[in-house]
Amino acid sequence: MMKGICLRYAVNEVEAEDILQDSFIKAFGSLKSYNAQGALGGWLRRITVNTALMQYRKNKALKSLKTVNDYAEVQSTVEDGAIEQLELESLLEKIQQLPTGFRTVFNLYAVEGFTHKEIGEMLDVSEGTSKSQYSRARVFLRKMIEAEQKKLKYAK
Amino acid sequence: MQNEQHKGSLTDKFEGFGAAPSDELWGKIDAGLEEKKKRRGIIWWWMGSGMAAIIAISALGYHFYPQNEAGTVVENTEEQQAEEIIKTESTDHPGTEQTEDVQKDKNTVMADVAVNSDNTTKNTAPITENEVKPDPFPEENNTASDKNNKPLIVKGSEQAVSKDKSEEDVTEEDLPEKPVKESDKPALISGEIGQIPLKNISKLPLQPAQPKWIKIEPFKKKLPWEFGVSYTFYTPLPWSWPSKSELVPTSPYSTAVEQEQTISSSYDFTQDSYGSSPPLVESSVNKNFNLHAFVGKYFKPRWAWRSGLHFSRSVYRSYYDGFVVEYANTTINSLSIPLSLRADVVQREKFRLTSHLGIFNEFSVLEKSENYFTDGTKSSFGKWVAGYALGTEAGLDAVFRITDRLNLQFGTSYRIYLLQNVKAQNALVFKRHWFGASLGVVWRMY
Repeated sequence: MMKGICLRYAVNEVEAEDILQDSFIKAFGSLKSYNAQGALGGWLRRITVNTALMQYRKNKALKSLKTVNDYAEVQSTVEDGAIEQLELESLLEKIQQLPTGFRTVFNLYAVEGFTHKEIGEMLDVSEGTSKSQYSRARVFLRKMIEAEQKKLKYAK
Repeated sequence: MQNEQHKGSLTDKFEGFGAAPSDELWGKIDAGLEEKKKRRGIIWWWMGSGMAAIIAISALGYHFYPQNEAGTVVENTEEQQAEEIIKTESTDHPGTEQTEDVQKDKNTVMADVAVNSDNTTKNTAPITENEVKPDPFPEENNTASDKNNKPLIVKGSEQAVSKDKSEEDVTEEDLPEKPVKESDKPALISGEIGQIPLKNISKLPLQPAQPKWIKIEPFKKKLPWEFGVSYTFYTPLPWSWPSKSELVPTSPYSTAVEQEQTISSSYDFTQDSYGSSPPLVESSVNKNFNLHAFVGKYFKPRWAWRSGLHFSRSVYRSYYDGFVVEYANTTINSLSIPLSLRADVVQREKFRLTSHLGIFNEFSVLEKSENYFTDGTKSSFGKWVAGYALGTEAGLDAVFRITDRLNLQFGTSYRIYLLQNVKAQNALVFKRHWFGASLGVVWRMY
């Protein structure tokens, strides 16, 4: 479960393992603070997500500016609901290709279920920024799906 | 709190997704845990060793330096010497020579010491071994018979005088054939033993001679001024690592801008992705330099105040979530006017352990920044800056007297900031709790 979370927040498996390692070290180091009344899985999940966010902060996110602007300016022809219809592995692969900022906000909102206000507080950005990042992330994903569909079409 | 729009959509899809960590990863985790434990140990070791050093130094100072009685350091008086002799006698010979009235004996001894003191300056030549010295107090010692007028033969050790023989039987025949080795001699004060009356020879304290320390000017007569400089290195304590509440609210870059400014089609590559500035994502600070020039005054033998001008330099690092600026190093130079109350916990002639408690107010005056960009370039600038910080500090200083006026000071201190506000170009994260170690010199002017 923990590695799955890490894979969603990381660019690749190497980075995911780094996050996982830090998460385990934090978890073992703070076992005394674990309240046995809560679910262990939820506690570990929170630690892993927080560690992934720390990684996001260190990465000085959103370096592929040109790509971001390209996708921001072009609207996709793929329906918005197509993202949820994707296979797990395919969706994970595309999430990993998202710029770090988009990927982080997308994971926090779409998968973890945080509100934009909470995400804003976590990432030290405004609620509006979180909404914008999430919206752009979905456009980004739809464009990737569209590109994949075109590739398959040409292949045929 | 869950957002309603996407609740359960992708969450269920990723539920339970994952893989077991590899063996290699478990090895790394194990190594990481060991390193973390070691790092935590180093912090506590550093703090603990600092305190232990102060305590050890204090204990040594307390043990080796003469103690004063009235909050000042003075040499032993003649009266104190007499008191010591009385004490030695009463403990060494209980019930034997105590038939005389104690008060009478005390008066006799005091008179002896007074005479010895007068003669000390006249007889400063050291006694050579086996030297025969005439009794300079024949009348005082002539209590029982004229035999007491026989000269006292001073051997290498007073213990060499045979207890089987009375004092009057001691002659040159009793001298040992071989000279007594220097190492066998007790460390008695040279030039004095030959002048102690025979009657009181057994009352000499069997203590090694104390080195004579530089005589200190008693504070009760003239309380000194203090001038000095010190260097202090502070490090933030672990429990004050970055937290949101410590973010400076007045920094122009600490407030995130609205989404409209975040990404726009008319994006200017020379600007940050968030319009005017990127939001801060992480920050750290190290206060690594603190130079103090101070003046102080003892207003009571144990109590003093101290103030002065302190210069401090703090280095901050701010990481940004931006397209252009990756991170920035900001150096804030500040001037401070502290005021502290000091109390000497231990006072010795050459050592003082002083506790202090005070307040300080920092005025930030100069900011220097270096901004590092994602393309590897950097820009730097310096400008005047306005800022204010207020805090309190407590600690212990060990002060060693080197010369009559010059003192060396080692100290540890704990600093808490109550208020921090600096309007710097970059967002700064302050720390409230600091631990410091200092080294300085103090001139004491009487």
